[in-house]
Amino acid sequence: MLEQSSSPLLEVSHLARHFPVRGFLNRRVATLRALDDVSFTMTEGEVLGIVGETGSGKSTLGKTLMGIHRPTGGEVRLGGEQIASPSQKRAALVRARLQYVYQDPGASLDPRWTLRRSLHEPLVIHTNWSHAQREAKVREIAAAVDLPPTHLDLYPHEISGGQLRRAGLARILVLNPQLIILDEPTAGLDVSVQAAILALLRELKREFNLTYILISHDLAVVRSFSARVAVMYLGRIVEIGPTAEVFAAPRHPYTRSLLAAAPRIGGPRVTESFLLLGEPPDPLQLPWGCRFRTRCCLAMPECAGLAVQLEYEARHGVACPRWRQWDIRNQGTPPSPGTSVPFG
Amino acid sequence: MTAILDIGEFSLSFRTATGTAHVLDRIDLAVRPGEIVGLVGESGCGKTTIIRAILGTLPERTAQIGGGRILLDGVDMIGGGKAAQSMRGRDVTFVPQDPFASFNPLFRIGTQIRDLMRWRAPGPNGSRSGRSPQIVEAAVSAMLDAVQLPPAILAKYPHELSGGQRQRVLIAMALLPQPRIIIADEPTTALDVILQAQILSLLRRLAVERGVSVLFATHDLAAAWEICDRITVMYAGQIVEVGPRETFFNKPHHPYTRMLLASLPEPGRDPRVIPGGVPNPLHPPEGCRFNPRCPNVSATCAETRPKLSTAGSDHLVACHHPGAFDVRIAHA
Repeated sequence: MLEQSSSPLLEVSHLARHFPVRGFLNRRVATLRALDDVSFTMTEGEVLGIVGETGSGKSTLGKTLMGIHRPTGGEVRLGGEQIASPSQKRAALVRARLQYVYQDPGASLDPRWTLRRSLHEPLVIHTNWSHAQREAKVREIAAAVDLPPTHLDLYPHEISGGQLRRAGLARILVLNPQLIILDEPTAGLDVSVQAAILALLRELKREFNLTYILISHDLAVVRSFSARVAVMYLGRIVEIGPTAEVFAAPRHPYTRSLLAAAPRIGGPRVTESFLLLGEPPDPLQLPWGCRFRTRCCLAMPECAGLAVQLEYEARHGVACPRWRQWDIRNQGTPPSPGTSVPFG
Repeated sequence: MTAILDIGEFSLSFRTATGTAHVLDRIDLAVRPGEIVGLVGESGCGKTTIIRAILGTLPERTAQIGGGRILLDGVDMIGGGKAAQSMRGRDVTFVPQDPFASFNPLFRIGTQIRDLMRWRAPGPNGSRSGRSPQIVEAAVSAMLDAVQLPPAILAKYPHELSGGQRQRVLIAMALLPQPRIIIADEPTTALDVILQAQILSLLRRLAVERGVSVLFATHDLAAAWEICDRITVMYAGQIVEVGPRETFFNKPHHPYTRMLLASLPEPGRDPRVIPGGVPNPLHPPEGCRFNPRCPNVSATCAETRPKLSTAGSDHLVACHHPGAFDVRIAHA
């Protein structure tokens, strides 16, 4: 899968994570295939957005990359070095190079510690620096996230929510991570606060040359923030490519309906024409072959028998053998971006 | 056309340990029959407090009504009279935000719907007596059909339903009493885009078909665009702008509304941040509550509160200097 000429920072190949579902007497009654055969690469300084519905495996992907879950299959390489595979125990050094930002980064601060102590802690664990060295680093990072130095002596409850978020991000940045996984950084926030967070993340990316994986269900945020986007459905990547291309001309039927469902100010009412019915199937009893075929308008009987792989055309990959049929079906008129696609 | 819901000059404050929080400041809000009105604002601006005042679920000990009126179909909803109480759950129903916390987990869905029918639903010809179980069953199954759920759902417990199914049941339960107006408090916040599109289209279609008004509270401007006929924007307990959907989004007049729309993420440009923060309700600014963050502020703004005045056909704005500045310049 050669997408970029420069050597990739992150290589994920055939990554899988299954969770056993246990019943009576701890017997294994089923397997939840939260993540199946996920492969992609990322270059340094890139922002990859990952979108999908609840239960599509977005967070499982983030947590498996992070090492919170051990993969069931496949491997992850960071800078050429293998960091996760089913048999591997992760070294502390790797954990410092990869950081995970939860929905509310401020909540990861200990309420009984001053901000200074919270910011020192990662350095105490991962380095053998002297106190003075650590203090210098902490001050540098605090200045970068616009946290006044006087705030370092305060406790989390004494500062505002916006500053808490900055402090939480500072705690992640003191270790100079290469790759940051942002898990729904704007979920549940008002648009004006959301704009402030995105601006801060953008600024930090420029300053520290960071690489982001942005996990979000908010298509507008992903569209404005990330250069490349991967769409997940039930544990698999169904489409991956440059954001502008995917949003302008989505290929996979699921991506098409996902984009058609997102309301757009100034556009037509999608609720009047949107017709993708039903909900995703039970993740314990996934359909064979393509997992979207139970809701897909292009589905054919043979979709059940196919091992659907991502097929690349330049940098745009799609896991649907029949996506070209769409235009024929719709009298050769490709759906323009933002307009809703009649489905059914 | 007389409004079905008429809120005028309504003020409300809460007593707290550190002082009085002035949460609502002379609110004017009207919902006409058969209309879907969006109540848009950021968290903490008082959307839910208005809804709780209409539904009579304010905390009795701490809430202080400062004045004004809430009339629902001409009935006073804040006096606490018997007439108001009998309207709640019948003429005005509620679709809550969280479909996961809104059912009793110990009873089947069917039991919970039948209980609702027994106490709240009108019988044939609008009377509340003489309903046979067959008629009730027929009404319930017709409603389930309308919200696209199989009848088998009645035998299930709430935990067996997905989030989208629960929200559909809640919409069915809000419609079964045949209300005049449904109040929906962020009904799709907990759902994904595809489910949101399904639920919003369901709500809009059923409301339009049955001529039911909807007051739709949300912080999601795109969802408001999707479903509403008119939009009302609140900021820190004051109504700042009211207008029909198209002119509201195309030509917003209030500086706050303009900056809010500019802070939405859009491809090709960075979202613009509104400088400053939401005021503390314990000490709200005098006059227009947006004045400390407004790029177009003048001395009058900090003294007198602007009244809602006409800014176009059916479009009202509460600003001393409406439309007198350019967002791009303000952010430069």
